[in-house]
Amino acid sequence: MMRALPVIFGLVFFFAVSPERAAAQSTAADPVLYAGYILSKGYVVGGALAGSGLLRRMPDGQWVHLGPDNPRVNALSYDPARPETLFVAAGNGVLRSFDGGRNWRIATDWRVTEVQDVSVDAQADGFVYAGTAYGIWRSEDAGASWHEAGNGIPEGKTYTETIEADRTTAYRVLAGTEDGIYVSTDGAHLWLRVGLPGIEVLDLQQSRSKPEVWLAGTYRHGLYRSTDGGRTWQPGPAEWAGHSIHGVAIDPHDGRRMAAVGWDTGVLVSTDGGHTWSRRGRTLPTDDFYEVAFDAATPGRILAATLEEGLFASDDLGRSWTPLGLAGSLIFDIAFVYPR
Amino acid sequence: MMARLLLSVLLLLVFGAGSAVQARQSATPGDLARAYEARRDSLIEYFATRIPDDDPSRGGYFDLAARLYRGACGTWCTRRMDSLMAHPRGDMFWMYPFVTVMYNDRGTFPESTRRKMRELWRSYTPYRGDTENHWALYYTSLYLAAQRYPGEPDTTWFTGKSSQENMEEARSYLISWMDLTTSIGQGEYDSPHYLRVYLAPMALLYAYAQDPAMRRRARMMLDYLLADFAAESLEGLPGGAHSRIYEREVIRPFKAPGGAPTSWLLFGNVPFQPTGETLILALSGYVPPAILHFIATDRRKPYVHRERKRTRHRIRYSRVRNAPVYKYTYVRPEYVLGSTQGGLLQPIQQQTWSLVWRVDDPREARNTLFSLHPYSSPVELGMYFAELQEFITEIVVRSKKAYDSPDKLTGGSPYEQVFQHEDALIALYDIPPGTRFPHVNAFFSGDLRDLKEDRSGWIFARGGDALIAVYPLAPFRWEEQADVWDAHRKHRRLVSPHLKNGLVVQVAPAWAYASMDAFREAVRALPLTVRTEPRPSVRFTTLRGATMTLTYGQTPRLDGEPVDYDGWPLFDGPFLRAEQGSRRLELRYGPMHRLLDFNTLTIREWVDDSTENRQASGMQ
Repeated sequence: MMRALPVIFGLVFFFAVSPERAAAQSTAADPVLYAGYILSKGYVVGGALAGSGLLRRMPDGQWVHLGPDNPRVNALSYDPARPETLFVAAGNGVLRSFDGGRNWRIATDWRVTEVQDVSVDAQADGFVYAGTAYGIWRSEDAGASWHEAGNGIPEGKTYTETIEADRTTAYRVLAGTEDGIYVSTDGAHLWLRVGLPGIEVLDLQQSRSKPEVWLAGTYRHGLYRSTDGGRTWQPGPAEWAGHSIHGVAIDPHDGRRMAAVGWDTGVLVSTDGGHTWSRRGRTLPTDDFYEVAFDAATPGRILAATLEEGLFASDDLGRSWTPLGLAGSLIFDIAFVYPR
Repeated sequence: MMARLLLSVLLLLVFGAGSAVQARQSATPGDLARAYEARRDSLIEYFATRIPDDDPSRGGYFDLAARLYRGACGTWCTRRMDSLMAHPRGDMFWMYPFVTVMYNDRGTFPESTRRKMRELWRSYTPYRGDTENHWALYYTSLYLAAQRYPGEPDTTWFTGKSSQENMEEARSYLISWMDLTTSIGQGEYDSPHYLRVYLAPMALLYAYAQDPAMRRRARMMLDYLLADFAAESLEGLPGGAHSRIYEREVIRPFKAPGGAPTSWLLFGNVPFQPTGETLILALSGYVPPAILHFIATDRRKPYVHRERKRTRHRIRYSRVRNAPVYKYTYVRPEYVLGSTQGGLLQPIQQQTWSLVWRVDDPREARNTLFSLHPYSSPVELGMYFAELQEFITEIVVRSKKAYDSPDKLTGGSPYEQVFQHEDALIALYDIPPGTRFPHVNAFFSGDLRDLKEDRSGWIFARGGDALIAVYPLAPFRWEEQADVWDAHRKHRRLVSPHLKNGLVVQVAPAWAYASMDAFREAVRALPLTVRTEPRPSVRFTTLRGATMTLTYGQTPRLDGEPVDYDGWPLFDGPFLRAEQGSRRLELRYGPMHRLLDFNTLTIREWVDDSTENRQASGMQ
């Protein structure tokens, strides 16, 4: 029965609210959930696209589509000082909206493509970083102009799947490349590698409650954790060391709660700050996942994006799950935007 | 309507039967231009008349464009256009046919339809894609759309940029691509499938760009791309190595939509096949210069043609963004044998080497032979695609179904190395243990005659007037190879499940030997030393007396001298000449010269009337 539910929810809950109403949602008190998705089953470039782009989840659980039907919306970031300013990492470049998603602009030109991640520097006004298949780019004027910013990362090793600005320190930013984790402390003018040489890094997340704690997911090298702001990294549980970890998350309400998902992993959950991990999510329709997050509004709630089987929520740390729709989709990112 | 259709068919029969219209090197430029115009008109006629006026349920943008061009629309065009616009889809593959319609509408559509056309550029967001052809189509279309709607604000475009910003970005990319291509080679080089989606955008720019410099660039790129194609084609069929070719086309060269249809329209040396992209060329006003016709059709003298290309952009697992591709093609009246050096030069659809032999009627022919290691790996895909590795193969297989098949007939491998000299070729494979699909495939067409395994270890066969000898380095078995076009036709696939492996190939024209037995005897007598341990290695003296030496992983040697890959030119052969980095290409045919100079945006033509040049081309 569980396997049939996502399809039903996915169909029923789409596009039932106008984008205008959805945009107004950004002024509400609770953090707002966004998802970058593509109804991917059967899609190839140039073919008929059933649905794609950026979605916002309404308080009543309905998903509303925002902006263009871009088939690749890999990540979302926003300016905490101006939550209506959104940035999207997309195949067509970095997309930017100043009005909560009503209107969009491809903020980059042809030189910036296949953008895998984007991150706004909350402490450095106007600084935005983009990790792309071709390396790192930086804007110093809120996305109006962009500059190549890979100095320090060797040529041929610039593929960057994930980039995250340190939310407590201006101009400090971490990048996960095909050759380890790099840190810049000067707004992406110069990068130094701090760990995981030879390992492709797929996701980086910083704890909101303990900003010195970071998690990293890697390609076929498992999970890594840092407790000193990303300066040094320790491997996670040995039993997952050979797995690909696509998404990692730390509960903003309690930094001891962590989650990780990947290929044939189920949902890995820790309640002791990453010292021990348990595999959960066995009742979900697949063991393969693209992304995971903790609900910014509901302490302890895990959101897990399966591979084309939908988005699910768990309020008991992964023991039982409720479908939230988006069946048939690749969900590249799930992110919360906090109101000002 | 029926009369029009009959007229179209008649014109096609007169001007389109490839075997009936052989290359006429004695034709004057005027003759060639008139023949081209006839083919062009018949193609437009075909698209303008193939859907009955009373059937608005069928037809695409190309049919609309042809009718608009001819001013023969009636109410069909508006009804069909409104219907098509209700559900735009296809990203960049939607953009360029749509632009073709836009620019051929000279007052036919009512204002309401035009408003809808304009609105789509705001409401529909095409994906820019991730290949070179995607971007050529996307930015050409964006350029022309912005030109059509100048001075409009960012709120009226899907990009969120103004008309001027869109145009400037598109122009910048297109010039960058042209510079890159004319400096270090095309990335999606010599694709029998995708050539058409480079010709189409260049034809659109040539036809409709208002900026004289952009029109000139487009005109020169059309000459450039077509010369590149022409020099390695044989009676309209692209031969040798290719960046991207589909499984269906790789065994049936005539059906590759970028090759024969293009050659029919421009050179008339192959039977008719209509494609939307050739229609765009036909509508554009482009007329191929006579020298292109001669390069494409004069095969009286055999020649070696070399090219330097580049890989598609590598995004990871490579120290270089664009690794060099060294192409070598031997062309003669009976066949084309061509190759690259091997390796992962393109994802999924690479063809590292092939032999294509001439046939009287290519339409049903499976006139080709080639080998490959059927490599399948997320490493290859990850090198070129920004997808999560664990999922990437499944994503690719959704559209390229054969990619992860042990029986596949396309794709490069990091464990192959190829060396060619004239009509002899050595392909070596050194496959590490544990590799997925640890075997070598070689396609032996059912069209081959006199196929015989010889005690000497050689396999002999005849394809058209090409006598073929293949020497496998390791034991093999034969498997039946299905024909995707015709369930009743069967082929053979040589399958050799050995990690240290390879083939030696020697081809010769049938007229050079009194009989197949004489050819067999000559090949048997050739000095050949092979070994597979510790690495595959071959030393082979060809029928023409050259000694080729190749040990896997080492630089090949010809008559003891290492091949100079560093000095490999962008183009080098009797017809085309270009230095790497030059942004120039010289076309040559006997005394005729045509220089495309992208540095100065000039085309210079001259005639060198020396006796030497006349003799070199076979021109009298």
